[in-house]
Amino acid sequence: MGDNVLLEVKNLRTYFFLDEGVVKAVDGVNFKIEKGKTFGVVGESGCGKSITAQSILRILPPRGEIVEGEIIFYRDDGSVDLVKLDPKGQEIRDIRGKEVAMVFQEPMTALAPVYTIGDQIIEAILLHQNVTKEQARKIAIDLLGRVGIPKPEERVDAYPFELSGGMRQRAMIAMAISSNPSLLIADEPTTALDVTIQAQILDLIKNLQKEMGMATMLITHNMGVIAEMADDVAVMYLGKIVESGPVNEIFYNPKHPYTVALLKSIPKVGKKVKGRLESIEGMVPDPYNLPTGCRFHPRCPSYVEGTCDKAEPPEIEITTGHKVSCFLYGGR
Amino acid sequence: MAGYVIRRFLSLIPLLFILSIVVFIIIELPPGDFLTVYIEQLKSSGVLISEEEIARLVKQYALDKPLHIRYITWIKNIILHGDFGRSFRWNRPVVELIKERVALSAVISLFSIVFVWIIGVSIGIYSAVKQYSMFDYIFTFIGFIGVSIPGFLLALLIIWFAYTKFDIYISGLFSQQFVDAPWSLAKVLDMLKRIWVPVIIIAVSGIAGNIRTMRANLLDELRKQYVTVARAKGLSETRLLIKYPIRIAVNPMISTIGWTLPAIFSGESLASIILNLPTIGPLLMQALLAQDMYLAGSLILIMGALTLVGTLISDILLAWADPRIRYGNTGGK
Repeated sequence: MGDNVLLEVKNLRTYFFLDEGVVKAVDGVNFKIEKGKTFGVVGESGCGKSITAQSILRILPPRGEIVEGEIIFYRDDGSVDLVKLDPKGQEIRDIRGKEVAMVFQEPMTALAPVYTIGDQIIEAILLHQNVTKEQARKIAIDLLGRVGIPKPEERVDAYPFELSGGMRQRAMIAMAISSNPSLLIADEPTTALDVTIQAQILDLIKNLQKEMGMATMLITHNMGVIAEMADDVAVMYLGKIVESGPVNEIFYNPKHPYTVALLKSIPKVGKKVKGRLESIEGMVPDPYNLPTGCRFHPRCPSYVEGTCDKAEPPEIEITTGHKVSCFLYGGR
Repeated sequence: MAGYVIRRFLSLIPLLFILSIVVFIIIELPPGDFLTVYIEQLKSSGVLISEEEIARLVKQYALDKPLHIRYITWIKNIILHGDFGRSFRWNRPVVELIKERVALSAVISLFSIVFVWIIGVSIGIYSAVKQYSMFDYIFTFIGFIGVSIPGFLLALLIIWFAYTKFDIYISGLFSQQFVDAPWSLAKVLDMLKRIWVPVIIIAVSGIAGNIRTMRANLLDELRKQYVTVARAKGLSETRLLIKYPIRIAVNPMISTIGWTLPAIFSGESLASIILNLPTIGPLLMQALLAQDMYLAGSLILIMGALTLVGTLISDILLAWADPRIRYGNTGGK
């Protein structure tokens, strides 16, 4: 396993220093992404999954800062700690879009409205590859064809507002894969799309991944997407990974009460539902005042008074690769 | 695009027609006609005017005819002969009076527009990019003052300041020896030395307004996802700013170029009156005070037409700059 690691995140803490207080968006996160594999990150809105991705590329919004941790990116010619790079410097800019590319949630706003999609893809190609404009245009047309855009030689000159949401997301993917990245971060790539289009886009990402041998970090709040796509899964809650492991372990042998609750809240085809669908009790707590101890304890059905609200549960490895942070499995 | 431009040009025709009617109504509004006023004026100053002269003027401006004939005569004179009528106060054709002053007005306005745009937009950009920095706070403060202070007050303050501190009397556009001199290189240089005072006075509120607008527009754009996407692509910060958010944030400002013209014009009028500059503004004010309606009407007509043309220019520029407008209005490529 050791040689296959592409990206390793160690104890990452990303905080936002706002007038209202400090938001600990990512608070001590550890994970590894293996070459060619799909790593799924799942959690509710605001749990820090997008901020984790933005920390990797160092494109955090203003006032967001990595306060601790390492993000080690392994290349054939050695490794580099992305946290140590200047976020505006040449070194990280060479990695962005070339070795680590990103697909975003909102295809409607992710492409600038005043330039053609071709222009925006060609820009990315010229930035990272040593080709002429004409060659870049050919590559762009070829890419658009590969992501399933019909008549790519015409659509290359289309403006984003002339394309549907699904087509725009395909164009975004074409832009992201333009320089053969070894890691593709897909931040809720299908959330803004119709259900039928969602499946197509996921298939597209899967196929491209196979063809190009790149690893994918797939961020979503949709357990179904995880089940279909991921090899390994991390479940995040309020800035921490509460459970992680191979996808089958998480789905068939969930340990953390939060994971259990998430899985219960998915409707299942063919299974009779008595009454209402199950939901998780309570609200996501105020990010400025996080609960003490285990952050899930106010909503947890297995809450143990005097334990869960006093200390943070340690991470325990249950079976190989399956880790959970909960006092139910020891560490008291 | 060509179709759009032609359509916008055609829509100018009815607008100009409506404008001319409004101006004509203004000319006709004062009780009696201007000829009565004119004769009264001459009488009070002891000059007699011959019956033939009165009859000739009545005929030339169709004053004995009904309203619509008078309008047609008036507009025909303007379009066919370039004759805007006669200023009775100055006893000279309106065209001559305007010609003398229009160049100066244009120079001052042009300088002001350039200042308003270059300074306003660049400070706005810097303020937005460095939001909540010292620079941003200082120019936000200056911006608010600039927006709220009336031009005439600023003009008076500058005159007073220059006079008390440096013993310079800033008034007029030329030094004493050049006021009545014919145009020469020396006169132009003399003018350039003095022109910055009215330009600054006129431009201040525009600059302040542009700083505020540009800053707000750009802040909106900076939060959009395409900026993050461009950053994730590996673009450098400067190239990214110019190519994406700034380019898009400028668009709404282009659409207001048309309004800058009248704003500058009225600002110029006030400043010129106070600084005693021989431009169009004071001429219009005097014409209105003296019920010199042909002169006043002509000036309003020209200003109105300029505003319409300005709006047309800004619309065309906007369509050129923003494909969403270009494509939205022509229903295809």
